[in-house]
Amino acid sequence: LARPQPDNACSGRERLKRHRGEVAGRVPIPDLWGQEIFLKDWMDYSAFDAFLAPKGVASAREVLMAEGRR
Amino acid sequence: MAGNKIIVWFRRDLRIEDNPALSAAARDGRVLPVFIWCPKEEGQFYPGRVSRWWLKHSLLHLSQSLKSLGSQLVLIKADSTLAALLACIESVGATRVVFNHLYDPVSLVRDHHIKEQLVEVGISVQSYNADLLYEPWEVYNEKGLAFTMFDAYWNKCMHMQMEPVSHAPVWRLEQLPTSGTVENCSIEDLGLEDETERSSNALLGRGWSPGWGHADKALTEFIEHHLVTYAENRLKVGGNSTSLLSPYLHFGEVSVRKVFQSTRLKQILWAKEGNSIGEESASLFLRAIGLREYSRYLCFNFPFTHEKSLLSNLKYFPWIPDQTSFKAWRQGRTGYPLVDAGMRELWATGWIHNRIRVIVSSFAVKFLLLPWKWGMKYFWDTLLDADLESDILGWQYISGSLPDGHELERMDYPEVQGYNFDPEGEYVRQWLPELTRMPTEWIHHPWDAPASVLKASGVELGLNYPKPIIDVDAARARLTEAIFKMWELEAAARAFNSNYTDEVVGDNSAGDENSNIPKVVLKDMAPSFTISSNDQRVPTSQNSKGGLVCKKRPKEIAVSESRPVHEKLQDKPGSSRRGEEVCSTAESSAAKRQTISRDSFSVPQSCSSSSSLTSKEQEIRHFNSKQKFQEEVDIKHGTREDGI
Repeated sequence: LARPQPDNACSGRERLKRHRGEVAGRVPIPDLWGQEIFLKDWMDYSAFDAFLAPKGVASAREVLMAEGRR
Repeated sequence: MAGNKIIVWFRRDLRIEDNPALSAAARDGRVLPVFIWCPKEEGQFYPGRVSRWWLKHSLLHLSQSLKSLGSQLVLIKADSTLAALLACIESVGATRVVFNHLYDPVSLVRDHHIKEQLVEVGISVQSYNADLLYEPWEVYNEKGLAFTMFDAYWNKCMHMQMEPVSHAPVWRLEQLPTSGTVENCSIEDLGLEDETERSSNALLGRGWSPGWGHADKALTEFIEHHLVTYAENRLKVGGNSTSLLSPYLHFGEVSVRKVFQSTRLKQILWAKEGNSIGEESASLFLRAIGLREYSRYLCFNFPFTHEKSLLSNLKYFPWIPDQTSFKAWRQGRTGYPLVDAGMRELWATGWIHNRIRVIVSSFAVKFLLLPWKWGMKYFWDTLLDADLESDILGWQYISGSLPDGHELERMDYPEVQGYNFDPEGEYVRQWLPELTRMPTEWIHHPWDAPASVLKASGVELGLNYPKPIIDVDAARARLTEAIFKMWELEAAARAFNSNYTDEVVGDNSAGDENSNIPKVVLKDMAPSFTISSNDQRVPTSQNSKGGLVCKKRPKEIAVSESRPVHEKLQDKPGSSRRGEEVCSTAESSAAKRQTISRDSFSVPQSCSSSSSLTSKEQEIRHFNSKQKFQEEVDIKHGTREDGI
């Protein structure tokens, strides 16, 4: 069911439009998202910051730039 | 040549056409296409449910295409990408690995590491640009510095010569048999979709068709039939007003160069025919494409180092981590119809218009004071086009972290936005059937409607549609207070740090942490980088259009009305939030020096060195360009064209 149904009769835009028409106002958003237990952890910036500034990112950038300019 | 055995490592370039790595490999030898799924390496940004659903179907699509070319996509689930690549190399006796590069921090480091390791064992490695019109290191201003304003950046891009697409089409691939060591698993075995997710995902399959073939069709249809009216339609939040290409672009299912070229071609044709509406539409659509480029550009040129973290201007913001209000936001039960409609559309379709993204994310941060990461994580889990760089740009845009984005203190009234972006209330009525009979006059702020109107419309606030989760005035007062508190905490932290200068590297330069426009860290560049951005700025006072913009949104009162708050803090160097407004125009270089010195809140002389200029300059805000930027949209999820 989760597989997209190929539908040659209408374009992607039409399909989305039709889908909206079918589901709008009829799809309840579940009470639980499933990630509530992580919310508290996401108050903390450090894990996130560390992720965005991994070790070695500066040299990785430089090497890529150097290769790109070759 | 034909004896070469080459591994083509697919990631977010799930297409055949204009795929430089695949073309190069097909030209030079026999090819083994592989996709390696390594959840461990994705860390914090392990793709969300909806994104993984898309990936799964896109991989199936690519796999079938490669089969019809005579080859086969090898799918591998691994604990280490490097180990998986080495196993592939060994199993076919490959001498070379090719892939298309990515620019997010995690991929940068991983790719670099993998290149080093492969070269060490005697494998040749090449990576190519398949994702951008311009590499992030190709676009600098005349001083060789990175741009910090979109308009100036894009203006420069549009005057550069783009490298032509010269990647030969791939018509045939010769099967390269693997032996023992590679575990080619099935698409199900990759584990992209949990059992528990299937029912939610089922919705998506009815609205969307992932895969490069569908991307191609979507592009053609948009260019042929909808681009011409894009200028007008892009402003409508309901219906199909934009290209809907963002998920395809995120996964590399359509080449951005192809998108650019087909748009540009139309533009030239329309110019020749004197179709000015079409020309304008093409130009606006190209800008939307430009925002996606810009997201990569900013993340690459202003990497999040320890001294400049993402949204660090909000580091001391007193969030209200209230799970109940988060849940109301998530479920579209805030009592603000435009916000609620947006959140319901997001859940049901995995996609919302850029402007709705701006509205719902601003609401979470500014009305509810919810930690922005909560909102970002939810988007990450529910957007088909969830994209790290575009999402970061989007959250920066709404939270005062970009010189041409919204100010943190700016608060848009939902009812005003409703009338601007959903003038007939059709979008709200579609997603909130409980308000179907509400007259348009009240549909964006039902709490103001007379009891008789509510009754006639069948709306009982608090029963069949929620009362506003927070009153507009209360929300504004609370935001003002929060910003004030944030400045206090910042000042305290600064005072503390000045006694321990070694502790926070680079964070105690005057006023620096007030703004999140990070420093450029190009090693070979001059030390006082950000000054360069003055090149694109001019005081609004010189711009006659300044007043018009304000008139357009009379009710859009920012907290800035409570200006005294800012002024109280004037003794704090660099804290003057309210410089003259500046705008970004390319012609403005001549005026730039004055821009700084004429600022009404002058920086103490003692620190008017480059660093204070920098901070000052960073605080200068430009209403005009901001406005324009916003109209175009499209950030975040946006930058995805329709994105943010």
